[in-house]
Amino acid sequence: MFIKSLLIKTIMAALAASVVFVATPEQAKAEIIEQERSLYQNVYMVEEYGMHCMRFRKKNKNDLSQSCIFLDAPEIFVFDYYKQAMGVTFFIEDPKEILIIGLGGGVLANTFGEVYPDAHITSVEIDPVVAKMAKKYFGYDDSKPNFETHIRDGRVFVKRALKDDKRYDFILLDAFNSDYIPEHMMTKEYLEEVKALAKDDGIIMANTFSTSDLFHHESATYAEVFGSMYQINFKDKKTNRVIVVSKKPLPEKRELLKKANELKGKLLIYGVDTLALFDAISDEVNWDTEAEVLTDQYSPANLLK
Amino acid sequence: MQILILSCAFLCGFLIMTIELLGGKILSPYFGGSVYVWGSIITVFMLALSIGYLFGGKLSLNNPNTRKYGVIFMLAALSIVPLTMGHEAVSEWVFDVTDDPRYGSLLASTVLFLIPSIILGMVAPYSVRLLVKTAHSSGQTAGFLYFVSTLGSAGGTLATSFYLVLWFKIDHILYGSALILFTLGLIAFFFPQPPLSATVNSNEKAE
Repeated sequence: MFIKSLLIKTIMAALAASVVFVATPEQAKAEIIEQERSLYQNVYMVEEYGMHCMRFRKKNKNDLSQSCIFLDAPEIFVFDYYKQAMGVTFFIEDPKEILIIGLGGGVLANTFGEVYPDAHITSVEIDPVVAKMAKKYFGYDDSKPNFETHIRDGRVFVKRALKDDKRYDFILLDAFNSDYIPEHMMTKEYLEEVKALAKDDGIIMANTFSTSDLFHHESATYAEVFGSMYQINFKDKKTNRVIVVSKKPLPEKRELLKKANELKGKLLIYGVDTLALFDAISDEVNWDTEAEVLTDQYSPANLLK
Repeated sequence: MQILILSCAFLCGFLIMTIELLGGKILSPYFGGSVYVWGSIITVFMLALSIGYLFGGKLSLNNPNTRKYGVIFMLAALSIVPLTMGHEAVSEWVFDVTDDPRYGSLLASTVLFLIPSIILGMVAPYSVRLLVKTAHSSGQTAGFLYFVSTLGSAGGTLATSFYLVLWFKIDHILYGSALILFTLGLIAFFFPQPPLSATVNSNEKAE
């Protein structure tokens, strides 16, 4: 019975999602339910197609939503990117300390909190208004003992955490929006700091771009710091991709299949098909390896976009 | 004479903004890229320029000539060298001293940028002194000089943020700026010319 209702929910959600991506901007009936100007941007909470979305622009364009959840089925992921991000569960075993740079709506923070109830999850968000909206509309609750939120620049947090000898099992880098990239958080030096902040068997995952020149520069930068890496990307290359890297050499892809099978049931409630996710994992070098590595000396990320 | 001074003033205005914009890139790994980091940088530059205007004006009272003018440029160039070599160490040190990114960025900006921008600020009033022919036209001369140097600043802002950071590394842009300033200084120094208003000088002494 439960499975059946879940299935229906999933189908409904998938339908709703497909409507979103088919609809043209003119047809979209988005209602702004709250808006607030922060130090960094305008933050809009929008209700549309049975979803709550946070976005940083008023104009209705599909790719501008930063975070969305279905009102009827908040556990089901709206974006492919969220699903791709769950690929990290194949690489980690019972993480105790999780660090998320770029809280956004807190959808992933919440989900990792559910999947790993014993983990302590530290989230860093530069914009206090974004964190406020995460709590109000996305069910992000950092009053729970295993959650903490820091309103800070991600790189500054990382540098300080290094000095304070903090170390993490899993670090998620998610500090970008579609309009502007913090250039100091794309560089080799930053990734080296993040690498140092991971425990010896720690995993680092980044939500990044799969289009534009920046793709090549960014990939080359990750490769320079970490050596090999996996990318997780469903079919078309228009969406975001997820990068998985680590301090130690990463496992062979076939070794991940066991975890993909084990987690099939657990991740189904989020609308994640772990076998499709497994298929989306690739270690192919699909970037220009000659592309210049981004450094603190050279990081015109927004000009390369 | 006029062409030399105006070119120098233009490039000085240009490079002030080049350095100021790079300041944001230099500090962001340590203090973030938020508005208060820019606030710190702009505060220090404005403060330094205001002090530089005072010093430059004062210096222009005593036997103004293009040799001294050239020395200002060479000193500015030299002051950029420790800035370029030391910005990482200074930022690192300030990061250890304070964990408030506002006062951290203010302290780091002060240590890094105060002296070079004071020296660069001396150029404008000294240029005015070298260009002024008569008291009657002094306002127009000063106005035109500000026009040229601020136009240079606009150009420097645009060129740096749109193109230079895309083409070059930060330190290379800084060394390039120092090289340009030093070259200008050498030109002014080795081709000395008296101010256009030798007479004004003697009148002032007579008073």
